[in-house]
Amino acid sequence: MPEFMHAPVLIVAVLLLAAFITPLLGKRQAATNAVFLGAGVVALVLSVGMTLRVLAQGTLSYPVGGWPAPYGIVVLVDVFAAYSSLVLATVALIIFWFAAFGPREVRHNGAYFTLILLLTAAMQGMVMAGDLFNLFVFIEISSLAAIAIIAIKGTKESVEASFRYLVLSALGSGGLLFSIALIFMITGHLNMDYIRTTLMVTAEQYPLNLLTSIGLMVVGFGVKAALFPMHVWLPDAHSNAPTASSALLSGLVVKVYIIALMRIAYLALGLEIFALFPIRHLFLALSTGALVAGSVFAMVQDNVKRLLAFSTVAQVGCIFLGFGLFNQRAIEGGVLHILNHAVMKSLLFLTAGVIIHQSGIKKLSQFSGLGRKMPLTFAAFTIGAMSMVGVPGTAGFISKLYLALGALDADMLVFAVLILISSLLNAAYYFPIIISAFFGRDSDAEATDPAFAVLAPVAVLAGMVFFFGMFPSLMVPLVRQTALLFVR
Amino acid sequence: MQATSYALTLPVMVPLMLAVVIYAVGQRSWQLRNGLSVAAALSSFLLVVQHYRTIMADVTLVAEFPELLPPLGVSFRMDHLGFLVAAVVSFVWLLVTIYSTVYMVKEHAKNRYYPFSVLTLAGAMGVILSGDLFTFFLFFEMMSLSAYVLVIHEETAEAMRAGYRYLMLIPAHTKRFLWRRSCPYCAGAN
Repeated sequence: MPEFMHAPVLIVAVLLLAAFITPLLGKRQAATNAVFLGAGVVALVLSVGMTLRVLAQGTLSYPVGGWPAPYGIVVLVDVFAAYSSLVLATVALIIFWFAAFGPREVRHNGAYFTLILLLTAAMQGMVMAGDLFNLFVFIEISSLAAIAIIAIKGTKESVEASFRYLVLSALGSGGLLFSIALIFMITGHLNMDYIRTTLMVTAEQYPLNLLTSIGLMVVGFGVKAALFPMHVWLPDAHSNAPTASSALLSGLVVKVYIIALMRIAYLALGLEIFALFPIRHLFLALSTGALVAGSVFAMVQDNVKRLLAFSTVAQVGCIFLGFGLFNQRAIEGGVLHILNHAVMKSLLFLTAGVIIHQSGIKKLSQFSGLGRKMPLTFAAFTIGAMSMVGVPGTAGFISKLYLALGALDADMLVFAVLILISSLLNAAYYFPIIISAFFGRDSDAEATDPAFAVLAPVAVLAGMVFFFGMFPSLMVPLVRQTALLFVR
Repeated sequence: MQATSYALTLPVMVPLMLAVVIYAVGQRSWQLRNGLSVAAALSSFLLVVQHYRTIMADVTLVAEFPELLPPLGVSFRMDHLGFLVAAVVSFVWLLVTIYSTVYMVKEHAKNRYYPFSVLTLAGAMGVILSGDLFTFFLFFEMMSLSAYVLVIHEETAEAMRAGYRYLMLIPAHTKRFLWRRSCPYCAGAN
């Protein structure tokens, strides 16, 4: 079946092409929006087609330009890559929609859309890469684009935050490059399949090189994915960016690095070698720290976007916890949480942006009574917050349930308790916001719900929170097969 | 003896859907809002009572939805005790709703009170008719969260304080239920 055979490269190509067209359109707003959203829609269609193909026919290995490995670059789309690509395409399209019709926060939409499209193209390329150097190129593109979409707001804080992100992210990239160089030294290959087969023979001869390489890799991806305690750049960066950037960064970008790391773990290193090093224990320890510290830091924030950013630190911990526990249910939970957190955190960031734009209020202490003035916006915020806490019927509940069942399957009761504690902590900082907004004393702030066009993408995300909360079975075949890649 | 009856979900689903309708019409007509609230409780009661003959014939009704919320699934079940409690609760709720249409006349925020009261009824019926601890947990959470809005109805400082304490206890309680539920799970089910 030849359908969607070229989808893996077409997704990246379409997004890249659109990225170069948007600045050429200058001030023609309608045309810019059309190209921007059109690229998102095409990427989504290709991604859906590719996912169906992978589900029907198994892993799709695509040699770029017809050059076979090890000479050419291979794009390798397995179920995990297809799932990630689908999540990226869906959530990114909704954020594109908001960026095009939501409140304007940047002066040149053309340039802004270029950066967003570059970032999305790089993320799509990253989750499908079958070659370490190709992966590294996409990591660099996405890092630079991510830094630029923070700084584009032009305020002092955002430039400072993006500079800090630049420095730490460059350190991470340096670590990754060094780690890839060490792997190349041991195996002589950059193609992940070839690395795995060669490592089986050569790993024993170079244990120290391999250890250094894996250490650098975990730290490099850890910095970029904001794994506690390497998260220090995240709160400033995510809270000072324009709204659409915050949603994109918190919802998708941090997770792409987790996906890339885990793909390297089973594709390039192989599970046997991955299991030789105490990476899982590291994940367990650090995600425990993230879940507790992220929530505790979030509790003391007064700026709504900073609170959401710290909550991301905790939720990234949740995803790592799934991979740390490393059994069927836990990995299903972690992988589902990639989708669920992307949906709910984008929802929360977009509503927070709408609230800030409509009322001019950033501080939670001034939210009192605001919910009665803008009921629809705060209803959407409530839905996102309930999902974060893990109220049944919402998406967040499903992934936390799977993670808790995974912890029980692994006979590690302490992590099931940890998940319960973390949802209690989430309740402790999300519920007071909602209570004061809906039932608090009226403040003299003037605010109303925005126009329908602004709220439509938010409403779609809120619907998705309920949809994936009620019918997770839609994603289950993909998620189950993904988990089987790790626990065969 | 057991028999499958998907009508078992109706005492839960009818108030659940009517709660949304009541919220929507509440802005326009108070008569329709109050009428629908009473109708929600009444229909819930009647939908329970219709099973009287079946239950008295010693038939336990079940409705299972294993595909919903995998891996655990949702199920409903009605036996003698469940029938009795469901009938009593929905009947009392009916009386309370009729009473509150008069009592609440002078109160504020009635458009909030009625839909959340009906939503709490749906949660309560779900708790009573649940067929396993997981379903129980789902509806318990729904019931407790919507009851929060009823708890703080006054919106005085005292009510808010009490409400906050209540709200923080819900996750603690429900998580304990989930916890109890998962212990047999890890011991046997897998």
